[in-house]
Amino acid sequence: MNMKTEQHLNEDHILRAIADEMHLPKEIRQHLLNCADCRQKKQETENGFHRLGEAVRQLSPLPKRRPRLQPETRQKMFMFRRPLLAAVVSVLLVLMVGWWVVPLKPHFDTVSRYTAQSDLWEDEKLMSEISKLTENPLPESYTVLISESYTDTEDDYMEYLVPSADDQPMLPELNKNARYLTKKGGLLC
Amino acid sequence: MENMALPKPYDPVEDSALEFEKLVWEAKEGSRQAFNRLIDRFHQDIFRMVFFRIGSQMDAEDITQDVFLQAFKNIGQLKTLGHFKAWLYRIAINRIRDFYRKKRFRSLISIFSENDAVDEDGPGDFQQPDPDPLDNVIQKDFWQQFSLSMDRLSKMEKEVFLLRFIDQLGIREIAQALSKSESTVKTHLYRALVKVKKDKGLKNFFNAGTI
Repeated sequence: MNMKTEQHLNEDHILRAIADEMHLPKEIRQHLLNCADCRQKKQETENGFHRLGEAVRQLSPLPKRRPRLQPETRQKMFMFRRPLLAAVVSVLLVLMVGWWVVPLKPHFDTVSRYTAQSDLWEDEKLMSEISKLTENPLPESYTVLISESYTDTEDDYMEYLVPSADDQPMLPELNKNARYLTKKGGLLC
Repeated sequence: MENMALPKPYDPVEDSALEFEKLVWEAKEGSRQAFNRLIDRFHQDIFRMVFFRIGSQMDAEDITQDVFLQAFKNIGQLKTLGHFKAWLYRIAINRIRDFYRKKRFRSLISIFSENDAVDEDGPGDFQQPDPDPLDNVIQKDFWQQFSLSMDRLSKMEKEVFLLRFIDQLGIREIAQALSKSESTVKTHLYRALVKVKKDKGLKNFFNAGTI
């Protein structure tokens, strides 16, 4: 009796009731249970949303083809259904190919070693020619003409500059000259 | 005699639910025939669901095919037989997300190559051709109003609203399909209801109920 005099549910309450009736405040839920008008209003609003959905569904086209399952292939390409297994097999294949290629490597090493050695010989030959030229730039025919070797001349020159210890008799004379020069120096000073 | 159990009255809803779970169980056991019956039962719903989110018939058909192939491949992982429908919708939602991810990537590439034009979804070419031109115009107008109304909703509100009233899923099924709690779904649904109800463009269609 009292419920009839209570205020009816507003639109917000109705929408809340459609979304989640159980979480309405207790009084409102109680009113909704007892008030036929409010229940009808709620039902009409909910039906409106469902009618809207139905109208939208009517606009949807039908699929032109039905989904099909792939034909059964139980044994065929079993392992490639599992990506991890396929990856492992691929890695193994790569390793096997690598293993097959490895024996060719020493051959390439030998070839490169021979090449390096011949290059070394060439270099040594070139260096020996260069050192020969620095010792005596004149060709051999010219050395015959000048009748003495270039190295001999150089030895004499070095002997002149730095006398060896065997030339001892020269020393007193040198000393005499030195004394004379000192005197002169003293005079000059 | 009094203790004898009375024959259980026939309940078509319960019976079909049991039959459905049996079908799912058989499909889970690897029966292609049972799974084909599930395809017969759900493929139009899934197609429609995908179509309303993508807008292209061909893409929707391809995605529907993918959804059922994936479902068949992974049905062994389904724990509760009664959750099959929500599980199927969840697969469909994930496939739609993948589709949009790929589409974004394609549109990014199309910036660099103008030849690869990305197909735009036009809501105008959604509806089935109607022989009556007046009906055709009304349908087009309705679809435009509905699309505008849906654009005013947030992503989650729109998804919940569509699943509830277009795809006719229950709150629990929506929560399972979206991997959200039921209270979250209810909150989004309430917000969506408020916005759709206030939409003036849709009011005439909403009250009339028919198009």
